[in-house]
Amino acid sequence: MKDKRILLVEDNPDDVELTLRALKKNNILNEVVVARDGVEAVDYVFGTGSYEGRDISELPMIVLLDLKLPRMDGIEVLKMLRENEATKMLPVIILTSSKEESDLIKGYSLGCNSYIRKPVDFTQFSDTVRQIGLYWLLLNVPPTM
Amino acid sequence: MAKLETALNKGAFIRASVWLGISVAAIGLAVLAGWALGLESLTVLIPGHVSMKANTAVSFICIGTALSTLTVYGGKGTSAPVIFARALALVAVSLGALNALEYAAGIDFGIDQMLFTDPQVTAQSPYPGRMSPVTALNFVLFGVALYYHSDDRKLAVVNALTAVAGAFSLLGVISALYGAIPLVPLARYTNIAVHTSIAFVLMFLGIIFSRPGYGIMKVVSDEGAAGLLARRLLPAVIALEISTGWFRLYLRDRDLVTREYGAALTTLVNLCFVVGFFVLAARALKRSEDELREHRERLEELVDERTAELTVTNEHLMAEARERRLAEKDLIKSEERFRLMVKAVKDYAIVMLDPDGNIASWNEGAERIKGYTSSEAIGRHFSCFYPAGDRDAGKPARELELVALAGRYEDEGYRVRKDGSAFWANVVITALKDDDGGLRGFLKVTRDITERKKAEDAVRRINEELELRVAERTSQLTSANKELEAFCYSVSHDLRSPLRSIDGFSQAVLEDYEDKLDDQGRDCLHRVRAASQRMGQLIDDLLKLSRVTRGEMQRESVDLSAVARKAAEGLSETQAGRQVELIVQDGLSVDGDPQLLRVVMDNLIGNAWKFTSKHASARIEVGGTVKDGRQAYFVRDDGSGFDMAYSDKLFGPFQRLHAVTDFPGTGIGLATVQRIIARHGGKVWAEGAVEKGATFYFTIGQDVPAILKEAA
Repeated sequence: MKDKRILLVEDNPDDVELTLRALKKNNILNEVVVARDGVEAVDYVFGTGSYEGRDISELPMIVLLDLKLPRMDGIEVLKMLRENEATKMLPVIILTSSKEESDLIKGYSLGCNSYIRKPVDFTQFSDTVRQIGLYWLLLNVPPTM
Repeated sequence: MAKLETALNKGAFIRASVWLGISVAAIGLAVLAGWALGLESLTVLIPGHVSMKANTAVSFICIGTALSTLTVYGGKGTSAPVIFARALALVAVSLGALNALEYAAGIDFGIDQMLFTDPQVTAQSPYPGRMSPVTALNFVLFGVALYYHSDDRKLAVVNALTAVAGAFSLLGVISALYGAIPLVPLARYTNIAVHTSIAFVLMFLGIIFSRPGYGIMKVVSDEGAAGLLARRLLPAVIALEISTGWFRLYLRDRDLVTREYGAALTTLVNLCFVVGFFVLAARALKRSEDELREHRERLEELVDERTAELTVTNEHLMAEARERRLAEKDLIKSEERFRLMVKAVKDYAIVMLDPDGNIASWNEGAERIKGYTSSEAIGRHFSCFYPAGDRDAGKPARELELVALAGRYEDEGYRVRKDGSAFWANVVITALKDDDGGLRGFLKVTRDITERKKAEDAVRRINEELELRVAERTSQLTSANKELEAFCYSVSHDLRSPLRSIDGFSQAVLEDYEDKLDDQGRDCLHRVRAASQRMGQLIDDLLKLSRVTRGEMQRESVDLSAVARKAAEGLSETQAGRQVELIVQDGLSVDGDPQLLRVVMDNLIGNAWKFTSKHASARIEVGGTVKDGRQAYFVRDDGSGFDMAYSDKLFGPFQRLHAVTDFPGTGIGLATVQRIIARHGGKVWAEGAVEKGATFYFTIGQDVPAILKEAA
């Protein structure tokens, strides 16, 4: 499942743990790469920094992007992905706590593919993750890159 | 007309005089020619008579020429012609005088025949070529008269000499006429040729005519009755006397009458003619007098008329003068009143300046405001009221120039009192001009508006302070708003994450350690999860409430009826299976933000829906009404209602009047409604009773204080 990798950009280890748990619970067995901030995420995608030398032709199938991140925030990451020819069509799902109007506008205007708010209720969260997996990993047909 | 006649008369006399002079000279010339050619007809004229001597002829040429010349070039001047004429006159005088001397001394100067030899020696004239003594005397007289002819001071002499010479001349003519032969010694010396006599008479007339305005001619040439009489009577009397003399001789010579009778007859004829002349003259005089009287009467009438006219005019003038005097008096009175008024004005300094800016008048107000007394101020230059800086900058003079140009000048600024203290003044200077537009001076009205200025300054200061404070407050608010924004953002992101962990890991424990937990343990974890979820809800509502007060507000016409129906529609979809009767009044329209108003209707109708949920059927009513004179809107239900004692707690955030178990909710809905209505300048309140339903009223945009509306 190497070619159906999920890039999870999330600084909160609790959230990482819960997300992974929800994925597992819903039998989504794709490989999950976790980036703990924006810089790490960008490094992974473009094979720079700590991911120096990574085969960048292997792009993740989807990016689950939190907005509030240390160093480089989610909006900047999105902006960089969209500005780059190789990644401008990469599906990016913003998965965050807030549904502040300003975040929504920024996200969509930069071309995120989806904006999903993490519910407090884990049962609901788990269901949300299941639906994301179902939709983005199975139903959605991504462009050939 | 009379004047012109006079001028013509005088001109005629003068012209005659010139011609007479020329005639006399011509006679002389003719006789001289006779002597030269030996023509006795010219020298003797009448055979048997004495001849005119050559010297006589020369003298006649002299005096005749002198007369004409003096008459033409006369006057007081000593021009060349006059000197020439006088010289000629002296020649005649010399010839006459030499001849007279020959007679008197019995000597012969040899002048008698210096020109021609006189063959005629008669008993009457024993000396050939010598003129008679009378002729010689006449030449002396005429010569002297001519010499002084133009000298006004010698007029009497000239007249006397001329008269005497004239008498001799006439005597010659008359005696020749009467054919008298002078046998007696006296007559021997007066025997003269006929044309000599005639020439003398012409000469006499010539001299008296030459100056018609003087001597006897003054009377003769007079334009009035006297002149008329003189001109008519003199020739007539002369002719009469000569004729009657001749008549008497005629009668006597023919022995027709005796000598006495002849005398009587001629006297009678004389008398008849003289009386006739006098009667004619008297009649002429009378006519003239009558005319004169008529003239005078007419004149008097005219004078009377004119006097009457003048009297009327005079009366008019007097009346006018009287009126003018009255008007002047009124004017003086009014001016006096005005002057007193100006003088008494206390709040205004009213000052007159001369064109140079020196003070000419001073009133009580000026004394009060500026501190100078009238006697101190008058004569000073008005620049003494200006602060030294203004004075040095030439402001007073510049102001006067401006006034002279524009007619008026107004200024506000500091002026100085006598004691040196300054006051804030309003000054109006007006130019005073006379009828021709010339500058007469200036009127300066000054008001002390220090108090007003202070008040204005205070108001301005307060305004400035207020503006500063508003700006400060605005920036405080702006930064507070930004902080709130940041806070909300942070809350939205960070406050919910731990809740997710609490809930998520509680669930993880429940799932992974299910077999190790007893019922109580599971219940505890469920409570943990419920609490964290409720807190998530609270946080969301809190953010919603804060969002209502943040952000820009739109203002447009909103169809409240449609908004209400849509809210109810949504509720009936999500909470189906309820028996709710919804009555919405049509045409409820307000000005406001459509989004926020939808939140209001969602909340109010949602509440009504919620609090009627315990009843089998419900009735929700939305409409408009008038409350306390204002347009209000309401949402009414027949639900569980509330206790009016707690109505003040309805709108506080997180305030609830019911248990969550009875009616779910966080207590944020009505707080949100209240904030939105407040932002619309309205008011929201509720009426109700327990189990009797509740009515929520609100107004829109009418709670704005009038003063703020005006400012907008």
